[in-house]
Amino acid sequence: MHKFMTRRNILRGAGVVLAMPVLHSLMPRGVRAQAQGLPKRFIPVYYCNGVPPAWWDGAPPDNSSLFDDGFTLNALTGPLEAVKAKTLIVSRLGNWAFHSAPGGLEPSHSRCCAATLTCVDTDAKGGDSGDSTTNSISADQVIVQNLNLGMVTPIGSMQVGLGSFPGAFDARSYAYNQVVSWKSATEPLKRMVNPKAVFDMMVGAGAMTAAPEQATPDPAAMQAAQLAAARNQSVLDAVIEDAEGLKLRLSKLDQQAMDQFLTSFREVEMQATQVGNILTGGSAGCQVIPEPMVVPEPGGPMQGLNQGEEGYDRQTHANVMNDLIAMAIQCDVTRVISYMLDDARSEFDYNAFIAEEHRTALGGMDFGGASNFHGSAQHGPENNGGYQLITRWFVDTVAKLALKLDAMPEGDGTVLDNTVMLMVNSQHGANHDNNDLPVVLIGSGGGVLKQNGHVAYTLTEASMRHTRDLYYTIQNNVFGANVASFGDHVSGEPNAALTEILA
Amino acid sequence: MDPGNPTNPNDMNMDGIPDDMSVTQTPPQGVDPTTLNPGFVLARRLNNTEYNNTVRDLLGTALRPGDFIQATTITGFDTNASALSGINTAIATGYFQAAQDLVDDVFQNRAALTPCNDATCVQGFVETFGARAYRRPLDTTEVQRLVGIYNTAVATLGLDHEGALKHITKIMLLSPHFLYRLEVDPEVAGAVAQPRPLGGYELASRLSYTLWSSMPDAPLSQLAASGELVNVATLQQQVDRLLTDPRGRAFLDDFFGQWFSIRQVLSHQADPDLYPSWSTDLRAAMAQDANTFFAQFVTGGRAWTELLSAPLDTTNPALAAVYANDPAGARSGFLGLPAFLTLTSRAERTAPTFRGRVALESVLCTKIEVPANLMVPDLAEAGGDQVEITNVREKLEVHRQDQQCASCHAILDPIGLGLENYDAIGHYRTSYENGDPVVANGDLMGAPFTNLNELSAILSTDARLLPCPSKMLMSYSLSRILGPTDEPYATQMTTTWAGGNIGDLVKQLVANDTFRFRRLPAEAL
Repeated sequence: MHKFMTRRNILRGAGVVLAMPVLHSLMPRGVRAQAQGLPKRFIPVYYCNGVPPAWWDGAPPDNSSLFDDGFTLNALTGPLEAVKAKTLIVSRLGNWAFHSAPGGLEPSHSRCCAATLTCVDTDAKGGDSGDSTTNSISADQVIVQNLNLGMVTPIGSMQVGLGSFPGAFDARSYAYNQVVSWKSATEPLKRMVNPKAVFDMMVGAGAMTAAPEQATPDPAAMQAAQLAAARNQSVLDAVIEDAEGLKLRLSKLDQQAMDQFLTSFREVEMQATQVGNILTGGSAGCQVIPEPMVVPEPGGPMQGLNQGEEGYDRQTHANVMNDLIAMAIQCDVTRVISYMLDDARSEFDYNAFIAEEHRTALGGMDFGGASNFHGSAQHGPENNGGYQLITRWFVDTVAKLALKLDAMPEGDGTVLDNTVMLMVNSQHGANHDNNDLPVVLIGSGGGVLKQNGHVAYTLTEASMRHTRDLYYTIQNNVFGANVASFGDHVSGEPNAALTEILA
Repeated sequence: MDPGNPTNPNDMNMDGIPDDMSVTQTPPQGVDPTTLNPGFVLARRLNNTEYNNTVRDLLGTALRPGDFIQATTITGFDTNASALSGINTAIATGYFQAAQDLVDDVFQNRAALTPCNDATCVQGFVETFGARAYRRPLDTTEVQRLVGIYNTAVATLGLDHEGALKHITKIMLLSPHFLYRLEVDPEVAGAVAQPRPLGGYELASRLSYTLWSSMPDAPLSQLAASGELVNVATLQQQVDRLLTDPRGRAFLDDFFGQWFSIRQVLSHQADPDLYPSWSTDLRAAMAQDANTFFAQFVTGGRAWTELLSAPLDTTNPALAAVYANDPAGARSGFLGLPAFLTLTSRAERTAPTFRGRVALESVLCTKIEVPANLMVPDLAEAGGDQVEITNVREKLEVHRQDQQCASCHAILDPIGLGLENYDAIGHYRTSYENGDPVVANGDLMGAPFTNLNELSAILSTDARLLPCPSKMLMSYSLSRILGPTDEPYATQMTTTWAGGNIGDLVKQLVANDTFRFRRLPAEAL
């Protein structure tokens, strides 16, 4: 067995492969507009298994809001204190892709997870038949594609996560349990849990330490980079040629496999062979972090590393993943990152590592008894210690990432000001419901969203609002993505912006 | 395969509960070839286990780069081609990094890989190494192209002999001919018109990946080259050889490990406060014990009919803590395996319904479907209250009062409750923590039982016991969820097998037309 935390013997010349030049003249007008102003970023953060009722302590009544001093955090959202002025909590939004009223559908973990950023019901779309898995394009990928971000940054978007030990998959595909970003209805973009792989991808795409606004390539590094790129080009040319030749000999059914192979390896080629401007980030500069540790990709449901096994520590993993996301944003490797703090229906043992400060903040609360997330915390007694502690830890992890972005100056403010971090759960709580989801927005997306407040909608069915409209608002009002319609609504209502969250 | 997962690869939508599988299909041999439909396997990537094993056998490396490549598990076994035919940028990047890591590792001692010292032997290296990497001989064009790339690398990429050899090795490790299991028809239309008999190399790969989760070895490749492997008798001899080879352990780890979910014991968590003997060593011993148990049905002489009655190794010192309280002869067979009893429990208590479901799914290939639109409440909430569960049977009785739930539970619960003498790590008990006595008697479809052995005896008579392994093996080996056209072939396997051990069943598989032929559907054109 591999040992976690041991560095593999990597002989590659990390840090010398350079990024492709951005060809501004080839970009569509909308992209140029974004490229010329301060960049905007979208970081949806998924967390699983709902939250305990204590989450809503201090929430405003239906269809009302609290702002500034009237807006207070509670024991679970407390870690947001340092970024409270840039935080907007939203309550009583549902994901109305399917109806889970009493006597309605069984809202499984994976079905809810799959709908998190797509707002459609995968079961209704065909689900996991064993032959195919179908969903719909996700909110983040709509932004990537409509703004053609793949042409703006070396990597169009990234998907990362901490799911070292996934739970049971509720009889459905990995794609409904370990994925929130979908490139299309049939192309799940699975999260990477291995920090070393995320790091290699960013360095391979050109991330290189540089002070703000400085971009003079070192001639020796440039020459080495050109040689490395030429070798990579030779390898990938040969591989792509193999696949093209093979495709011609295959049946129509297998040609699809080769098409995907070609698309994927051409993207590897783009990242590994272009020598152009050193990618030194935007106005924030670029600081490449030390090479991080490796974490294996779990083999399947209920397999992988739990806390403490082979040296695995979730807190360390989260710290490093936060550093990598901050580096990706700072170095402008990508502007859209979806982050899964854990996989759907996680059974991870959080009890073993959550810091004392959280237990203290919750009045000395402890897990008590068995400590696996889904089995014991989500389905334990109401507001049990484990459920509260895990929830608070998720908030703390997101708050720490927000603080990193807030420490990067940009324009008159910080990188966080031009970002929308969206912390969204796929379920309400122990009931598995997908109504009244706990939602937190951090960063105003360039002054577009309200901050330092808590906006509450209503659970009254006739006037209920849904996450599909939240994404629609972010897509259009923050990113100008010209989206006409996003997600499904069981009653077929058209999208409408959530004006209550707009500044 | 997956606790908490109500479906399983054994589900082929062929049977519900409690119907037995029909065994009345006409065997396909001798029928008009235009109607013979052995199906096909999609071009698919090696899964990560196969990738690890293949680079081990190809390169002699100890690296396991597949552990860092994203897994794409969907319904069925992890050999399911529907998941493995797809690829994304993250996976491609994983292969790209893995290829570099592998050549860096192997070329530290290049002489162990090839004696080729200079440019004169490069063609020979490409021919021999290439044939192993692609699991078939390379054609002249392929060889010349790689030799040409070697020469270009020396001339223009600043690489010496060693570097250029590494360069073309890396190309071969990234080629779809290496990364994918391919069965390429000489002519697509021909393979639609009628079934195509697979060639020796294709059969060699089907066999080695089924039994070793790895590439064919030299003897197998020689039989492919000589043409002997297309003979059923030769294939069947090779089954014996492969199963007794140390690499045959993969068949236990990967096939049985998924079929009976044993793989998941290795990640299982039990509450150490409630079960002080629980440890990572204990769960590893449980998995090993399960492998040993299944091995006697593979290479040992034990017949599958004894799955539920075979003796258990209760003297295994590594499992002494689990067996400590067992009365003499208390348990036997699969249902008594500590691994099974553990992986079907929650961390803090047994889960009888789940035990029943896993038993039915894995032993009888019977899928339990949650009724459409039914919200299954957590057991702790049964009866409307939310309390600590001290007596699982009592709590389950409350849960079953709901008529909607009763139909499934009437089948599942007797099995699970019949195993209540075994706690969440398979340790024998006669009372619950709160002092309530354990009641483990019941009634399964009219047949009464009072303990595990009697329950096992009832299940052993079920007509679904023998058809189940054929379906599982076919689905695993053919990398697909079986459909209606596969049903007669599975039935044929079961009929000709007529029990015996799983080694015998593998011989039926390799003689089966679905294994030796392929035929494309009209949509392939």
